[in-house]
Amino acid sequence: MFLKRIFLFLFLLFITKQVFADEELKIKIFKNVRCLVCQGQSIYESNSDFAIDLKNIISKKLSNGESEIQVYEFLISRYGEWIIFTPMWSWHTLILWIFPIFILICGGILVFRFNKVNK
Amino acid sequence: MAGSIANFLLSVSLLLSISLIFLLTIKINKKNFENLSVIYLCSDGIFYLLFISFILLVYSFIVSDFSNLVVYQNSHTTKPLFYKISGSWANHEGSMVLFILILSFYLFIFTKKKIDPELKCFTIIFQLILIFIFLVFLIFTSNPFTKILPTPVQGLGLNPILQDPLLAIHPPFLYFGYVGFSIVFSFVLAALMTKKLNSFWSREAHFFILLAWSFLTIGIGLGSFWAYYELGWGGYWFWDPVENASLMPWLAATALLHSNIVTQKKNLLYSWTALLSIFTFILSLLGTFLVRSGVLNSVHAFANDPFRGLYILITIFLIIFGSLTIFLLKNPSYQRKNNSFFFQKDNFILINNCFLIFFLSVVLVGTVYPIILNAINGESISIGPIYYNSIIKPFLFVFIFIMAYGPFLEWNKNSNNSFIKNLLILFIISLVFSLIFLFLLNNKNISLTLGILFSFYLFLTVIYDAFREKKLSINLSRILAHLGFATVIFAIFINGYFAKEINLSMKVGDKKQLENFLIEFKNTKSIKGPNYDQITANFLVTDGNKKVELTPSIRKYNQPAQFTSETSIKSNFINDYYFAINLSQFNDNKISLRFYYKPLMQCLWLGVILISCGGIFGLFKKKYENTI
Amino acid sequence: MKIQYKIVILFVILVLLFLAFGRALLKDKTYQPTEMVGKKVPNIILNDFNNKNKKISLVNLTNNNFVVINIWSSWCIPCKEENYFLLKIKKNSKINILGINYKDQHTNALKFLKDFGNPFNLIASDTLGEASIQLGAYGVPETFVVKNGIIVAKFLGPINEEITGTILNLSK
Repeated sequence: MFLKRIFLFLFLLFITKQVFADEELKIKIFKNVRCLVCQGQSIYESNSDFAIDLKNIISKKLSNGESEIQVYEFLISRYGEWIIFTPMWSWHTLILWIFPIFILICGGILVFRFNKVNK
Repeated sequence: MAGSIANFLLSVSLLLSISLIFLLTIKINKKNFENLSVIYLCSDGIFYLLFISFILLVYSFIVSDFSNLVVYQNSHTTKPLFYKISGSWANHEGSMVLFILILSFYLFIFTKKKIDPELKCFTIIFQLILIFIFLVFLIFTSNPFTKILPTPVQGLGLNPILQDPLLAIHPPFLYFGYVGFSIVFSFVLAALMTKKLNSFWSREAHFFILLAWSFLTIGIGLGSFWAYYELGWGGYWFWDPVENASLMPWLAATALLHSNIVTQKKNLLYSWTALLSIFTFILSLLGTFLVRSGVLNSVHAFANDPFRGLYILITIFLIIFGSLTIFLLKNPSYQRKNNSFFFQKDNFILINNCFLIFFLSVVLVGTVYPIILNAINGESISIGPIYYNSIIKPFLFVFIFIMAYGPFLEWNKNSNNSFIKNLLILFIISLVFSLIFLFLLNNKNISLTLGILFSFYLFLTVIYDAFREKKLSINLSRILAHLGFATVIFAIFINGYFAKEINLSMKVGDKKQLENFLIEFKNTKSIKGPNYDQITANFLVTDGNKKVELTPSIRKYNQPAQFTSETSIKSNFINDYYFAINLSQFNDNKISLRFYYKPLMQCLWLGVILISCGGIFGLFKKKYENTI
Repeated sequence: MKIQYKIVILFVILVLLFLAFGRALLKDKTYQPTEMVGKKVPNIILNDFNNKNKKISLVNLTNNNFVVINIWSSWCIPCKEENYFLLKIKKNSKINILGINYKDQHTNALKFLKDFGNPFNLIASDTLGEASIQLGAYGVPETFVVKNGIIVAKFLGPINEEITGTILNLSK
């Protein structure tokens, strides 16, 4: 759990843009939360009852001074990782990072071999 | 009546394709390549038969023949004619007819090419096998001409969100792209079988790759543009699995396009080009599977019975296994040439090929892995924009840098020309430009700085590239496409960091000052459309000394009864002002709305148009064989 | 490596992928979060449906008790079918059923209970939908079975014959 938390923190640090205003943070979180009753949309992009309730509860939590990570942790504890669009760090999501890196290394080997044979 | 004729025609083309496959196999075994014109005639026949059945389907939609199940489920008499026509491919069955029609269309153009008869026969066999497989699928699992008795009086109507001019033409473009790679696939398998994978093959294949790639680019662009103005959330790319399904073949095809140039120019990278040709089509099929089978939870997915999905799944795996086995067995080993250097064009193309495949692998694993994980241990994870953006972005900068550098290198010697030296100057200019730009806009984000720096650098180098040759037309194809790419990246970064969105709720007569915008709700108006009622709200937005009138609206479609929110977008080339009404929150006479301020959206679309123009221009470039 | 081996490896990988996709295809794709099963009931205070000044604490209510919590609403059509089975549970056992009335008009809810019968021992109102989020529900109807303050089972969608049996078994 601790590792996950650190990872989530690092991940959020690097993403799209730094968020200053409360309103922007809110929108950013809304866009990162899946609307479970919709098809593939975030709660930001939905006006279903579930999305509206979630938006209200998240706004309330934020104005109570809870952080972005605390909000995510709450949602995950209720609905599982499916609800957050950002995958968590754990052994079963490792392949999400390992596979592209593996492909990149293969590409490197390809370029290297191409040059070596050429010479 | 039309239905039975069309069903008969489909069966005839099925029989014709299977008998042609047998006939061609015999001919190839005997190495007897006489009287091929009969075979070409028959394969053209398949195209005509499928074309007529497609026209019959469209006809059933136009005359609202509700004895046809598909028409009943997807059409309605009050629908405008245009949407009656486009409705014929806006459903699973109809779109499969279009899919097969395009398969046979590419076969039709292919037979018109002057190619070695053995190579040609093999290609026709492989393409016919594909046509056969999908015809069986169409006739037995998703027949578009199923009758219902008794004939209903009225149809169920088309989902209003699909009643849109762009969405009507988006699927055909996408299919011409996806399916276009089928002929490249058949052609490469034929070349492997006959050991004729050579620079002639590569030149002929180039045309089809470029054709399909251009269509696919336009198709993706149209889809993205539709999502932007129709879905009403101000976004143009959601990293939705179905969008990814169209992006994956595009990435593979872009890599293929470039590696094939190396193959053509230098007789190198044959296996790599062959592998990419195979994978591009496989990824197109994977896209079809993801969209058609209902394996996804997505806005776009057509949920339907799993047996269709299972059939597509089995065929895809047979096609993958078959083609890769042929590749492994017949993979050519060529002698490589000597006297090569690192700073050479082919090397840089290969490096960027690797980056493209890397981007592809990110999209692939992000799209497919959640499905596999859920099947294995039942865990559900979601993968959204943050994952893709954070992995792709850092490598994108390197990719653009190499993309800017590559065109200035030579094919065959260690380049040391004056052009290269000037690139450093261009880089410094872009660095200064991006710093000034960010200082003026008061934003110190590193990623944004790099984005602007590299896209601007690419932009400058492409302009420089365009003017260093006396004749512009020699490299116009590349210049247009690369210029378009630079524009797209620049627009994406600016848009990503400077777009604004404001949620508000107002009643008629309200005036609100939010950030730099003064928003005034003037009045509302009711309009009656052909198959909907509409209420339009009139807004006046004042941004500095600019005044923009916006008219978002809500429509109530009568069949099926459904509400949609229609956006209103006004653009002055630099900025888009965008209004959309929230559908479900009305109280105290107030409506709640979303206002978006989206800079450089027009640039983004312009960039996509430039990229496709590059592709289209390349198709007509035959005369200038000696491009550099 | 020999080509035959390569082909065999390719075949094996494809078969594995095929099995995974095939399974994904045939699987029910409704998402059923089970996160809350096995956990303590969240500490929520709700308003009583009949008396606005009375508060209901979920923790106090379920402590040392067997309680079925059912989220319902008068506008929810499956809730009508479900009502029959809830009444059956009430008739055949001494299980306490707590109804959480989700985002509903008071008068409509009263009419619903009058028309279809009232299976609930106690009803709480959840006008903002917050309680159902705290419980990890995302729609109506959903049913939670709580034993001594711990959620032991959760059912998405309307209760049927089979689920009724399961609930009765759990109460023993």
